[in-house]
Amino acid sequence: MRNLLLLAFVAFLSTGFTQSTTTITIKTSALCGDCKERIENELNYTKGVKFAELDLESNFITVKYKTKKTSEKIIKEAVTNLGYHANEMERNSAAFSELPGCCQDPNATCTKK
Amino acid sequence: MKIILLFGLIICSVQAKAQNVTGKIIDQNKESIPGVIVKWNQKKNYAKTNVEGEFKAEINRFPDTLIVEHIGFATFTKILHQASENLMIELVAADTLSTVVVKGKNDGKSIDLFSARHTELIGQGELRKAACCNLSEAFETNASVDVNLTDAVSGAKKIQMLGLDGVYSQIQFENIPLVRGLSSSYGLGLMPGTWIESIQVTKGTGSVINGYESIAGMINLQLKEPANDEKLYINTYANRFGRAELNIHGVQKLKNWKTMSFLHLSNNFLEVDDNKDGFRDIPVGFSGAFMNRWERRGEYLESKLGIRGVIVNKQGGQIGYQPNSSDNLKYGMDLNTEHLEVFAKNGFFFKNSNTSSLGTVVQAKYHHLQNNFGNKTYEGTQKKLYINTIYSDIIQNTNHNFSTGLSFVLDDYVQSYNDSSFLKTEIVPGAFFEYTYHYLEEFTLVAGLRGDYHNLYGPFFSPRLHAKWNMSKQNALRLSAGRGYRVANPYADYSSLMASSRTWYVANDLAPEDAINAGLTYTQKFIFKERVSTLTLDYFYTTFNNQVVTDLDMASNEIHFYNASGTSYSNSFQAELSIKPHETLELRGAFKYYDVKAEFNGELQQKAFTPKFRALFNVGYHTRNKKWEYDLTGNWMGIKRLPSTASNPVEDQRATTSKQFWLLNSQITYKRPKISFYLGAENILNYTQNNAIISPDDPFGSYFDATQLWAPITGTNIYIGLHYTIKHKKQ
Repeated sequence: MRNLLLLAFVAFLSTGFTQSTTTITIKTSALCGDCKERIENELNYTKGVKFAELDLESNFITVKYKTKKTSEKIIKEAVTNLGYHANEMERNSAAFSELPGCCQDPNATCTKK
Repeated sequence: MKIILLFGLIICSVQAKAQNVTGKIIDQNKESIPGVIVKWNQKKNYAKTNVEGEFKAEINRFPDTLIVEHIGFATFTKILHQASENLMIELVAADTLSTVVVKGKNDGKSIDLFSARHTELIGQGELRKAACCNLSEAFETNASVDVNLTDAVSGAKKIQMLGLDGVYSQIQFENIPLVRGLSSSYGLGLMPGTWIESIQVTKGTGSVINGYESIAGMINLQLKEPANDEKLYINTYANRFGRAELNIHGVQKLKNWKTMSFLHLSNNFLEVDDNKDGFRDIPVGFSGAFMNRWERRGEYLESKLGIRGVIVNKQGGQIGYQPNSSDNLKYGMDLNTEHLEVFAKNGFFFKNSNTSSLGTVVQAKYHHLQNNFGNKTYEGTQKKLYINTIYSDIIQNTNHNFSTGLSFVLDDYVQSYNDSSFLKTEIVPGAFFEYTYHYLEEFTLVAGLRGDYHNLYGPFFSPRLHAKWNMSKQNALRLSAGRGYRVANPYADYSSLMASSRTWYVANDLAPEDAINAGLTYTQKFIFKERVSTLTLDYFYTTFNNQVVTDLDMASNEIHFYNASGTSYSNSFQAELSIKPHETLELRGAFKYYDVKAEFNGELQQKAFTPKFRALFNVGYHTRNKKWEYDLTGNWMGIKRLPSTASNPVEDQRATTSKQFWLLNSQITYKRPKISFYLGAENILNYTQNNAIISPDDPFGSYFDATQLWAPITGTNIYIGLHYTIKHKKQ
């Protein structure tokens, strides 16, 4: 009986803590380590995001988020508002022009490694 | 229900009619490029261009992004909203050098495969793994540079490369001399860690451009520059031993100039005596440093100017020691340093040539130190002027580059040890030529020659050769060979050895040390668990002619410095493996073998305090959102030979070999966008050397020795601190 109660309690706990999450990948237009830092810093501190990682080689952002707290659209908007493309969504050109030189010009040398 | 919906979705997407996208890829000369990979953002597989440079792809879902990546060209992307036929895509040639640089660097530690020399880059991520405090602590997680405590009273640390003392490595910042001359004993402690943006560590002889000195290696610091994005940075640090530090940097932008100011304040408040020998384990006192640098980037002229100053005022020795007090019964150690320097770097580009450039480096410095170790006093003043000019251009095409120039070094030394004074002025004009040959990306050869004329020791000729060959895209084999010289100054180079009652005997007219270093490095990158892992093997051999040896073996109350007449050499081997088994986990392990021998007391034997075997591991873990970072570093120190103490009374004799031990350090960092907090522990296993100081009860007697140090004297340290950064919105 005690075991059963314990089991029920664990089950209750786990339902309480499991929130539905989903993982998406977003193709972006980052150029260097500086861009990576900007994008990851923004998304990782966006409400509902569990984690965001940008792979510079393939230029894909992997984002895991809680579906109740945020949505793919909000996340993609956060990326475009930084001045980067997010899949089919074009970057915010005003934000792009505000980016440092190394994040605008692929031929510029980036101080961030 | 959900499952049915999902199935429905899948069927729908499969049924959507595939549409064709065709096109041709050309370069800037309108020539077609065959074999180019055309990828898509959504679509899994890719297309390849044929001999005519044409490609064809079937796309199920629009919009999708077309991505063209080809070596030597900038990445091309285009968002397509519908099927398109006969797209013309013109790829723009990328500046191959800059792309290589960007890809080769990362946040932590990296070894790139493309440069001719075996160079490791220690970036911000790696530097922050060991949050404390100055340059001597920046190498704690690096295998190529070993850090050791010099003695049991000054708390100073020194580095070693290839098992050779730090004086054989050239240490500079932005190609300007940093730790040299009188600062060679305590200079590492004068550079605050937070000022450093990154460190390049090159094993073996360096470029002839930077002088004749780098024998075992070259360490070049990139300090933070006004052009970087930190507007304001504040760092605090406090530890269990009563050390408190504050660092503030800030950038200001004026019309044509950008300027950055740095301030570093450090104070040790507590007298700590963990091992109960009556001596402070770490000196108390103050050190402060400032720097102000200016930068201007014009079309044809780039200028960097700066001024840097350091003040150190530290007191070690017996508990309760007060400097300048009438009570002279206590053994005291005073370290007083004042340092002031100005530096200017200018780069000129020419209107009619986009390949040539002229660079000039000028540094003028004043360094004064006044050290007391009990009743030994050492005082020195160094005035230095350093000028280097470098002209670079290509020969016909970019496969052949050269750099050539002239240098001038003036060092004026006034030193006194106890009652003897020494005056010396060294004037060394020099000239150098370095030729670099690239064959595709696979092979690079750098051949350099420099000639210097030393006003006291005559001509020095330092030929150097570096070659790199990429047998495949994943590996690099490097060869380095070269000759280097060094003019020893034992009082300054080894002044921490004054913390003993040993009588100093420095041979008159020491000849300059002349060394040949050769090495082979092999780096292999491979994919392990879908991520890049690196294996590096290196072997370096150094042989000396006229090496100035520090002989502690002649007698236990004497120290001798003289030119070795016999052989003196070093063999060093290192294997390092770095793997990333998971996106969030990084493991690194290194093993080192040092065979460093010279004739001490007429007998060819391993250099004292240099272990034959060393090992290092580092585990770095961060949560996937990078908010938390955990680090664990372990250093294993093998058995070291210790100088003989057989002539001491029985109670003041020590073993002739040390014990092997592990040193474990760990740190936890919590990061927010602007602020991060760290908490760390050093020497977690609480390993200390028992009875580190010989005869501590009679510090003015003839057996006192605080330099027989082979392990930490302080137990576990706990430290805490924060980094606070405000960035510029736009550069």
